[in-house]
Amino acid sequence: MAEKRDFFALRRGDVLGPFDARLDASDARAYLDATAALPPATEAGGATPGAWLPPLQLGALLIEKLIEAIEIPPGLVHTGQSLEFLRAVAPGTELTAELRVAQLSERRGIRIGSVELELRDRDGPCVRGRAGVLAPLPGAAGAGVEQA
Amino acid sequence: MSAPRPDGAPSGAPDVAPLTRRIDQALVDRYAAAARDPNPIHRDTVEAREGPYGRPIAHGMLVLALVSEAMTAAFGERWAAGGVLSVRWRAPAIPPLDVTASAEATGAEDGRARYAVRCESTDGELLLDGTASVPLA
Repeated sequence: MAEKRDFFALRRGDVLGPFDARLDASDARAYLDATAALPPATEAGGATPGAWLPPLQLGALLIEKLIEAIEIPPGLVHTGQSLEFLRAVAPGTELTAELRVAQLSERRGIRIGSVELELRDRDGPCVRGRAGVLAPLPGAAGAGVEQA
Repeated sequence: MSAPRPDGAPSGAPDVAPLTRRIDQALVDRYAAAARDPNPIHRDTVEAREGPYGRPIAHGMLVLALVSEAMTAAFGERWAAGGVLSVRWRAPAIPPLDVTASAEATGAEDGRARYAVRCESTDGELLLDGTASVPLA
């Protein structure tokens, strides 16, 4: 695994990855258990149960890769998330995740970042999105973090 | 924007049933393992106790999972292959709590059904809000 990057040393345009990834049926079961959710395809007619992964699990996979790529600073908070599910992904599909630092700013002792996320298989992108994060700057006493 | 229905709701966007779920620390711990998220603010740790909330908070993506589950229940594979979601977290979800995810139809345009989505605790605190859309059949 590549060395983790310092969140405060990231620069706009930095690319994190690519990371190989794969979610099997057992991962999907663990995710559904952990979200107390019903298997997705059992509720909407037509699809075979387990034929595709829960869409938000793919978003969670991208966040996992972001967490793998950077050293989590104290107080890091995930403030916003956008996701576009382009294609359903079957369990066991070989995937590649790539992240790019899209925006960075500092305000009132807090560093705010936006990271573009992409997950693709051999046929192209499956999920695209953007994650918003913030963290108090080191030594910034009293920096106000109010969101989850 | 499509014309409103007689009951005032925008037409063309199918209803999405709200979903309520209990989020307790056991569920948060399971999510941390399944999502491989080691952030200590989600567990009973010194970092969580000394953090801004004084207690562990649930993962934002765990709360958001309720929205995606509600959309999946309504649209199935159309959500998995065409759904779009954009949210901001507004308050921490501090377990244990009951969370309700809802998606209110706002209209149908450009071949997509559009929704205002939100998650609230049972005492009415807004945890996240945003928008979602899905291709019309």
